[in-house]
Amino acid sequence: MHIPDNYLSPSTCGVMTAVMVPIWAYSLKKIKEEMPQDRIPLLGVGAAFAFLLMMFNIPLPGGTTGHAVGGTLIAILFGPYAACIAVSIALLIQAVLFGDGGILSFGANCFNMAFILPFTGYGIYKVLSRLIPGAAGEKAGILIGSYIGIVAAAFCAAVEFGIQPMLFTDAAGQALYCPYPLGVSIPAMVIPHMLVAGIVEAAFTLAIYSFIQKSAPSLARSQSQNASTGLRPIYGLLTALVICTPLGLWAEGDAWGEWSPEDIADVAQGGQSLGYTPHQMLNGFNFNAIMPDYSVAGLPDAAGYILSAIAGTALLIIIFKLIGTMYHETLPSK
Amino acid sequence: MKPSPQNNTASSPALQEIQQARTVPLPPWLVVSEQYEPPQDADQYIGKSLYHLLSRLDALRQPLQKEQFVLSPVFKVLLILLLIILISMSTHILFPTIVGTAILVYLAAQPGKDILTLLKKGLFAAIFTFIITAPAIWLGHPLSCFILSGKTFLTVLLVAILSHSTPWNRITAALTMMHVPHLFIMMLDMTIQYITILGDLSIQLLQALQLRSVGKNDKKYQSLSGVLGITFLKSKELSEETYQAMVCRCFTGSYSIPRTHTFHGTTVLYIIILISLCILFFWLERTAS
Repeated sequence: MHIPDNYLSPSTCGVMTAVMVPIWAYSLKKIKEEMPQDRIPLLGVGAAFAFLLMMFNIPLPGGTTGHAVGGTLIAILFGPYAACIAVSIALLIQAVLFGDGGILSFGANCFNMAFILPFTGYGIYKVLSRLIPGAAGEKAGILIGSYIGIVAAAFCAAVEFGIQPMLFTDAAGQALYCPYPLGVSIPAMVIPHMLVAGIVEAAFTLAIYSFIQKSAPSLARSQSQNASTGLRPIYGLLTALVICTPLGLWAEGDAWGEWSPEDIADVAQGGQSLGYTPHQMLNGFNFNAIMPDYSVAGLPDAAGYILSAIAGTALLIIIFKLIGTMYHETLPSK
Repeated sequence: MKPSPQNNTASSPALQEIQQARTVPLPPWLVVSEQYEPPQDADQYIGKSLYHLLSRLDALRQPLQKEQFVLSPVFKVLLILLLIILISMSTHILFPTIVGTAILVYLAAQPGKDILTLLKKGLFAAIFTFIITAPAIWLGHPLSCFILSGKTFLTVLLVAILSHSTPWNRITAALTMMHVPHLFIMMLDMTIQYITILGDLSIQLLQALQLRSVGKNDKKYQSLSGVLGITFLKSKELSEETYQAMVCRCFTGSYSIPRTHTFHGTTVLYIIILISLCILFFWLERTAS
């Protein structure tokens, strides 16, 4: 679901970023108003979970791959506004350090995965847990909320892909950016997410939430008391996820809409290959990440993947600890 | 309260004198209420100097913080030295990337305030290196500029981590165990001690100056030489006293460390870690090139 650069026109990217700016600003304001200061570093742990979940690629029907996001999990733990900022920062690190998702399309990716996903998931979770009382309602809310959340995000990404050939073509009628119209992109993105990725997201969300509730209830509670105590099991789970990340390499092939410019001409869609490379994909914006595709030159893929997972997780925890410290310093002394 | 008759009789002439004095009018200058308002003066110089000195001394006086990983200081010093040498020697970005990731993990386990302090030091050095080597970008070697800045960032960060996580006296003890000349260690030790002592002295001098400054002072910078001069005189006095104290206590400048350091399991582990780091470095250099 990470839209690379040059799949969306710069104008689409600009519109999506313009939509995200007020959302980011409002989310930051809400976090400052509502979140106790000592819970901000914990948000880094949540962002690290999202980052790691996105590294577990799973094979999807149709020969593509997908992954869970964990946005609903963070929204349930810390609230949707905090989830929006946490997933946005995780996406930023993925884009800048690992070249996963574009720099120009960062706003669009954030709209799908950091806004639509956590807010939809959290809304459904809240409604269902209110409608059905007890633990069953909460569980149903987590499962259905996270499932619909990721499918909604995939749908939004598909729409963004699908409107490109309608809006931007050259004189020969060939698409300049993503070449697949809505009729192709929506089924190609939404159906695999409904069949596999959504179920994985729901299962991961429920499993991790139950684990956190049992082993580190301080993280699941919204009170600030002893928020950072008893986090050992959580760090244990993070370490286990880091070690298991090479499993994400098993899923072969690219995710839908994330082909490299060299491959896109040969991608078969509906029985026939595209046959050309969209002009802007060859001549558009190009950014070289430090560790492209979570690999390190000179290291085996699995080792590079683990190293990337460690670096990304540590970086997210550091960033949110720094935000927590600075936030503390800017508070007026009472 | 009534005055006792005893007192009344004894001090009656004095009392009369006071009563007489009461009738004398006050001098006019004492009657006029004063309207003196000191002109606004920018006293940022003293304020800033005080703040800077205090923050520096505070950083120096931190040695009694808790150590999270109880590693032998000798091992720490050797490890940091080895890492700095290997990072500088590396011709490929792979080894620095791995060390950088390890540093990130270490930093992620620290409190936010400490991370900020450490990162500031590293970033300052990296930005300075970048500015110095920036011409390389236009001379056709843009990569070396970034690699040098990155290596500087890592090495300075490593030293910052060492000094932040290990009290100074432990580091000097570790240097003694590593057979660094005693004279060098004595100078290092004394310098660190004297920085705090003389720092305290200059804080007192600056505070005295601040308390005595009323109104606008145009010759503020002249007081700087006074502060420095007195600090110098005091340091000379202190050094003589230290020498006398050394003579009295039969200190000849050689340090003796009680030999508690025996060859046991952890030592073997430390040696294995250091050797495997070297092996990793050479293996990575060979496979990457």
